[in-house]
Amino acid sequence: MPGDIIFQAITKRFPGVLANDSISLTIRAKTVHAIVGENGAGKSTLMNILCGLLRPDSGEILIDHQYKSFNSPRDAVKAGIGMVHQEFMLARDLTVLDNLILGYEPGSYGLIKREEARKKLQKLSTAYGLSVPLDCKIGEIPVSFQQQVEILKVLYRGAEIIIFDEPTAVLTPQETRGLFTAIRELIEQNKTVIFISHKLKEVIAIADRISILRNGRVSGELPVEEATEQKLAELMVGRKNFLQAVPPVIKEERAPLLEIVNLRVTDQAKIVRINDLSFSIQAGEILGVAGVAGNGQSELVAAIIGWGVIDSGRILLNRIDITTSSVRQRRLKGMRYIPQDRSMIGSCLSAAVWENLIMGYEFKAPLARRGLLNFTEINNFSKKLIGRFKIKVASQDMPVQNLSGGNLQKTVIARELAENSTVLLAEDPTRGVDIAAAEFIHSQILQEAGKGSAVLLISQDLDELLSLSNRIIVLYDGRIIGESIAGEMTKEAIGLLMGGRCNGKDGVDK
Amino acid sequence: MEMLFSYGTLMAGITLTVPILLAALGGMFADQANLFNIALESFMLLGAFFAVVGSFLGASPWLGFLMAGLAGILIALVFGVLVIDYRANTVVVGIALNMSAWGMTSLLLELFFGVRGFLIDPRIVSFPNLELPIIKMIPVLGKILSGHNLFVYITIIIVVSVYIITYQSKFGLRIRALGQNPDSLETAGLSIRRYRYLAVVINGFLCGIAGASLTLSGLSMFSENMSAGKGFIALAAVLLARGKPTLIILASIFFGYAEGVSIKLQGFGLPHQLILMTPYIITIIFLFIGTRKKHARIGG
Repeated sequence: MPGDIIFQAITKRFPGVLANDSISLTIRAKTVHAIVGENGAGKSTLMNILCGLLRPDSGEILIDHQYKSFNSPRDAVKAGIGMVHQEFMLARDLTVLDNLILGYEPGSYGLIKREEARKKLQKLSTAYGLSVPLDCKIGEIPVSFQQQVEILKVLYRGAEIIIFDEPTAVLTPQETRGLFTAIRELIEQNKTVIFISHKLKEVIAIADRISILRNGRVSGELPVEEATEQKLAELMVGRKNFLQAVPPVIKEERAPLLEIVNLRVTDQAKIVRINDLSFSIQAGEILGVAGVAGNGQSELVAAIIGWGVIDSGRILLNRIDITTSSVRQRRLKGMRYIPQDRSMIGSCLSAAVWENLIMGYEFKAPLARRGLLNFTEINNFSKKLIGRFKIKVASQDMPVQNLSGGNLQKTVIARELAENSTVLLAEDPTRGVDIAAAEFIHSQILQEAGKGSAVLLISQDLDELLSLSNRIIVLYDGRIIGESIAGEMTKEAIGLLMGGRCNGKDGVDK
Repeated sequence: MEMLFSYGTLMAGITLTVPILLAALGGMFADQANLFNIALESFMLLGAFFAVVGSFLGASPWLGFLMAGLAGILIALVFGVLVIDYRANTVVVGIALNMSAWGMTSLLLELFFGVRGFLIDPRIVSFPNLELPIIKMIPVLGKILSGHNLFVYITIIIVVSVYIITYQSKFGLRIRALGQNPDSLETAGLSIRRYRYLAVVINGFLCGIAGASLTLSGLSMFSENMSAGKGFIALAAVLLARGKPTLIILASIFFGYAEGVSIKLQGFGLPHQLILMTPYIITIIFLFIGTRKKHARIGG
């Protein structure tokens, strides 16, 4: 068929990794072709080759039966390829219009003719049902609009083949539906869509055909009619039988280990980030926090862990007021934290695995005596953790920056859970790790709750929240906009609350 | 009070604004390309020296102007190669350049002209003062607008050009995008390295001629370490304005004017050192306010 994209034996090697191992794949024109796979399966490498950011070591790409070789993203754009990146490639303080035309500005003598661009963009956005405010700054519009800007950008550059890289990661379920409508509109208008994801439900909802990558190879390809989540997961991971995480059942009322009372936080720009927030978590309970990023989650974490400044309210740990305690005092009382950002906050990248593992324990017995480190004990300590948490590492003297995302995350979690915790804060604990590692991390969190810790789980992944939490609260604009116990709230209902809607009414107060 | 707004103070303020403004506009381009350039001072000093050399050799301020710009570009390229291609720390490179520019100009002064400390020579020609026809007839305003050194008018032309380049040109848009998110530029298929270098070259040129404005707008002399911290004041303007040409202009005028006032104050028997400190203290206060605002943004 004209317009088909054919990958022929694409191979790409990075130092120590065979990212793409002779991948052959045909993508039919005017269809949605999904490519799924775990992190490190080679999806991004393949797509970066298609859009000219990387060059393959060997293999060919054919578009419309013609061999193509791209030396730069500009060549790929000329061949009609556009990519909607996972992390948006937008400049926050520039207007939407300026972002859209960047690099392809109409005009002569080096000057820009913005009116010409505006006309073209207005025509395009009407044709595709995308509406973006051209004169707003990117930083002022919500994430879902930013994604529309990215889509419009590739259309403006004349793309016929549009790659979406994990496009739903930043969207609420409702926004995801909006995105899917936009994708179908693209197909209506004879575009070809490549959809990269590891969210199997969504893939089945949008794709016509699905290719699965594992360890740099194609491990399967099937039309959507034959696809089930189970089957796709098997092809992705290469084995059957998944542990289904089940939150522990709490029968009796227990003592609350973490209590937040009337917490209020405003930032330096005098914007209220947390507004009179109260909740408590009892021993053995996992409280899930849902919400679109930026609705007070990071301020809440900062307040509990002790590095944020709060206006008023109290925080109690095991009935003791810790509102004014330092981070170390809180940690000594058994507070533990799995941060969202494992490389900047969760670890010291240039430090060795063992150094990262002992941080926070290094000043007390048995790891230290009279201010000096006891290396025999340290060696035992870190070996034990590496074994218990199944961290794959060549040597514990290696700096952690050489670890894969999943193993780095396991290192952070191993340190945080090395001793029994009283309260565990987990912030997107499985972000960007593969299925096997995620499964393991989930089991560790459940175990920690089983041992009697109170767990606060903040996550962007609703499936994760629903499968782990005993209770879920939804944060919107720094307040709890909804709350329910496990199994009583559907994903859709949470999604609506995340968007600020309660009881079917628009809860946005602006 | 009267002295703060006197005609003399105003004219001195305008003259003193020119070098700061030109250097700050140059620094703005590097800042937009995410290069923290504290070497503006050295670019200026080199420009000041080669302006004198050019004017001396060609008996024309225009040759001095050109050589100052070229010298600025050359030293900026040294900065660029180290920082862009070899990823050296910008502050370390900046300090090294600032220190070596002082030594280098003093050495060259001795080698070329056989003098130490300063050079005064009738063969160094400055730009003339310009009486604007018609405009000078306007009461009050005419007296303020007309009769400045040609360099003041060159600066006005440059300010307008920089404004147009920033907001109306493809280059301006790309350099602003680069500063905010380099990936946005790369995915548009443009070379980040290339735009960084272009920013550095413009930075060098504008700082070079800022140096020329010290030596060739009437003074017709060069003295050791002539830039005397003006590059840092310009840097303060850059950091306060964060890529907005209008704010750069306002900050530079403010600093220039403050310097004009401090010179006038010397006539009133205030301690000399105190007066020299004034513009720097004002800079520190303004930077304090400026960064406080920035922190608030990060918190939000």
